[in-house]
Amino acid sequence: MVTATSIYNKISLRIVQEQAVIVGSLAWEIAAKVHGLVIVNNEDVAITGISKTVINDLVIQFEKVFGTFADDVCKHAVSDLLPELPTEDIPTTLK
Amino acid sequence: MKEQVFTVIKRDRVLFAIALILSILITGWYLYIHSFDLNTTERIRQLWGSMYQVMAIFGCIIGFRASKKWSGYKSIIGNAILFFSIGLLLQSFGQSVDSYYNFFQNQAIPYPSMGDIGFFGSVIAYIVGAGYLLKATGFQFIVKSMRKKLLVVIVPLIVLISCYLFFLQGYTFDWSNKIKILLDFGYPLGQAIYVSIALIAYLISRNYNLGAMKWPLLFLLIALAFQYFADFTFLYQANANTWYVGGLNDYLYFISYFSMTLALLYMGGVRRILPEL
Repeated sequence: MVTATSIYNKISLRIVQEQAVIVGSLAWEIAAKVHGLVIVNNEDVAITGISKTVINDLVIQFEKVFGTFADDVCKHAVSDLLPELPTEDIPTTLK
Repeated sequence: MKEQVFTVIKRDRVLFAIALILSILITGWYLYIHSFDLNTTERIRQLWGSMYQVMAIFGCIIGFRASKKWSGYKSIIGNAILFFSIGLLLQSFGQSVDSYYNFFQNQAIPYPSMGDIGFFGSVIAYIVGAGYLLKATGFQFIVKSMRKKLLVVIVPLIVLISCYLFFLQGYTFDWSNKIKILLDFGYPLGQAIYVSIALIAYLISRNYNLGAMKWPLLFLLIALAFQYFADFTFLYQANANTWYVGGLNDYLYFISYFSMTLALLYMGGVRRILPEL
């Protein structure tokens, strides 16, 4: 069974991976600054905090570097994963 | 923006200082040479013409270093920087071959020559680099409205038609030299392609929020515009038979290498400060 936590993990991993396609390892460095998100060997992530908040913070961190472009990249990267979550559980930055 | 520029320059002040000192020395030498009668300065102009590529070599080293910081071929920005650096390296190769004919053999540069591998190769490298730059300015997300789609068609069309009218109208084909035909068409069309991509990147992203990356990417686009201006002037002067070694066009090439070096230096510097945002 796919849990909400594993979907949030997938979402955060996908966001970092897609940003890394554009900016390389900088994406992992930026993600590492988000409280409640643990980076494993620059290839995986684990959420240890409140999932929705962590993902919102992650998107905001990327927005600081790449503005609306980062926002669009994040939304596009996870567009196929969002339907797996109830509407109220979707992080506001990804709506 | 100002704060970002100051921070980047401050952190890489030694490298910025080297680029600036080199540019002052090369410009000073150029002005000194041109204070004399043109007919009396051929050898010294040839020497100057073979030396100013030092800026391209410096820029290329800076660029490879910056590309590595951006994860090299593994990222879009790393690739853009990598290909602009390769472009500089190829320009330097072309300049070296030309200088060999000019300075050491004391003869006119043959066309086509080995140097064209460098010059034409640099056009291809700039096209690829500009393509990555287009991706890095959010092209895939912005180009959704009809107006912007139209822009993507119209801009290259205008540039290509202008380039045809300027350089290729009434062209006489000499099929005995197919490489010459390829280069005669390849240079103006290739240059038109990379400048079109750069123009599209600028026009469609100018109102798009690229955050802290807006100015670094814009600097690269400006450097590419300088390169095009130098390339365009070369073709114009060569067609009009007004080009001469160590002249205004060589100085424009030097300025284009200098601006590309600064843009690459800035890209490397900004990579260091972004994680601190």
